[in-house]
Amino acid sequence: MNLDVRSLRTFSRLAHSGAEKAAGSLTTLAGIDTYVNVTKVELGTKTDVEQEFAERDLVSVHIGFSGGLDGRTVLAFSPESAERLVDALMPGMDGAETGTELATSSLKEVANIMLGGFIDGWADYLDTTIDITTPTYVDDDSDGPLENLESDGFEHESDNEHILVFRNQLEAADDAIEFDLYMVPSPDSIETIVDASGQHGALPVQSFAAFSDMIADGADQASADITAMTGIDTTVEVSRMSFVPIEGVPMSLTDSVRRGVVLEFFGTPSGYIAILFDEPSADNIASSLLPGMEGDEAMRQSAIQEIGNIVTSGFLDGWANTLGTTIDISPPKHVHDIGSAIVDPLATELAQSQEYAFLIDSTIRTDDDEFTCDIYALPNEEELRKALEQLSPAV
Amino acid sequence: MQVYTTDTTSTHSARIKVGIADYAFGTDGNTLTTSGLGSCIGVALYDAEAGVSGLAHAMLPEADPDGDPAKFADTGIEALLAEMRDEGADTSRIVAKLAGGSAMFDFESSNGGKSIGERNVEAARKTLEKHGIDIVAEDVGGSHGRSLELDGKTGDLRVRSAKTGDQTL
Amino acid sequence: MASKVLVVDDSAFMRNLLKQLLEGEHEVVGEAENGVEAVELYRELEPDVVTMDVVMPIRNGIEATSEIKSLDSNASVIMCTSVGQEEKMREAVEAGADGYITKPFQKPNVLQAIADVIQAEA
Repeated sequence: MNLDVRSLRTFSRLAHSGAEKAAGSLTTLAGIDTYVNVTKVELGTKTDVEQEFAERDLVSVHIGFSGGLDGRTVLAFSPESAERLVDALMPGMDGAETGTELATSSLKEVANIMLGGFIDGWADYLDTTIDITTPTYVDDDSDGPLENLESDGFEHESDNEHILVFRNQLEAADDAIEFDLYMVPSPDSIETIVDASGQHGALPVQSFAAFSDMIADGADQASADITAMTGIDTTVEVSRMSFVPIEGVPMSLTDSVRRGVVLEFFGTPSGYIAILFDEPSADNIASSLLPGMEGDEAMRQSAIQEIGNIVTSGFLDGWANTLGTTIDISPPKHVHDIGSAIVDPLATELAQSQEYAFLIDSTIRTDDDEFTCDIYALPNEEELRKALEQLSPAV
Repeated sequence: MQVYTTDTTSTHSARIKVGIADYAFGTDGNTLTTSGLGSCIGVALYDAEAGVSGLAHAMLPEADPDGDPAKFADTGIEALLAEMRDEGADTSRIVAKLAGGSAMFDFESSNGGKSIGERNVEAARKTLEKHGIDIVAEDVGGSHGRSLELDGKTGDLRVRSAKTGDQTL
Repeated sequence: MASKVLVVDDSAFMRNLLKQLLEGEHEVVGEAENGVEAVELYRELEPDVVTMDVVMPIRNGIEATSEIKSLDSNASVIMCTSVGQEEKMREAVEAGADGYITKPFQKPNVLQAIADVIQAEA
């Protein structure tokens, strides 16, 4: 399977308009304004996707599709969002409490309507027919959420095979309800879509896969470095690469205040990186590095800068090694501000020369939730592509 | 066989969210919100008499011919103005308030030229001047992020900043 | 003029929604969860109008519509579905559907569809 930036752009646009249609459907159905925050085309392994579902304790509704395209769509909510949505659909209604058949049925129907509209868009684009299945409701009481992914055309894919996932983040009722709308087409279907959008200088998906592995290694290294520095065990919760419209990058973060560092990196590729903590995490990690010196703000800042420095090196060194290039990093700049506003200038710098971005994000967490570290890396698109081309011959 | 479909485009409700590289207007005293203004510029427009308000969130100063108009300060403001005029707003009555355009980081790659934030502010000023719209208040520049809320009933622009606290323009 | 309506949808929520929507305007005489039940209840209740979901387990709405129409060529069946693809609408026409409502729908659409279909019948 070959992928190229042009087809990624097409996928992104198509997924986004499908998500907008789905958002409009929910607005009409529940009477609450629903927006698409960001549409991402993610490249990861089956295991990555399953893990994310498992970690986040989600309630989800699955609908399969077949015909012109095969695969699965999923609407996933936190239990709280699910409850609020049911309430919006059937305000104050008896017999519609969480867990009742009526409540579950309403979520299944919401999925049916939203995902039906979403799939219609793809059918329209490909000028074909796509059938959808009845919805299946899955919560944490049931078996693994992506069980039987095999039946949707994934029979030949091992858990480590890379798949493309279209992920749309939506919110409704002023952020009170948040959910994701996923579409996972089978590998054959990806080919169908790529062919329809016209291949042009395509790279074999293995190149993206190799890069994806490199990112995972970088995240592991960063995690090991944090553990070494703080003495607290950390693990990489998630590490993924997605293709996002440039304005979608800051929209991947919320308004909550974050503390951390921002750095520029130079070489092949060059770009920007932000290492961010929520405020309690920043306090905790600084405390672990400066026992007894918590009060000294300048020292805390310095400690956070040093973490940022080390995490960035851990993260990027692997890239340089694998690509056989050099990547230099700038001195870290301490930041403490609204999350989306921190990433906004980074995306804007890149927006001068690119409409889409490869966003690499990784979350490193301690086992007892003492702190969570989010890494956002934004390599220059053109340079990354060149770097990926360098990876191709090795595959 | 007769087909019955429903137009599902969002109807305006009490709070309308404006994304990044986006704009929206309100005609029912709605509150328009946007966040994540780092180097981006937020332009709030208000015609009290017509009861029409608008908010644009642009990333870059001047438009690329193939680009999405909403992404650029010049075309974004003009597109928003056009829509507001369709709803009865008049440029002679519209007032503007600006917020954003920070220079949060001193990137080595910008080669010491003007930051994008500054250029966004300039482009917004230039475009508004071209249309004869007065800027009655502003909170621009600096090195901090902002979130905005435009009250469609009063034209007040609430600017939230994690660093400098909140203020109303 | 109130008609007798049979509501067919595998979603309890949707059946409930339609019942609420039709209250005071028409009489919902029965509910079915799948295509097989739909045909059974049609025989038993002889409603004036059927609202028929398409994607259902056991037997889908297109097949159920064909069967109902062959039972009773004067049956009035309105498809009610989230899928809006042209090919699907074509299938509905072939099965003999008299109307096609896409979800999400608003009350006026449903009432209009029923009114139109009754009038066409008359």
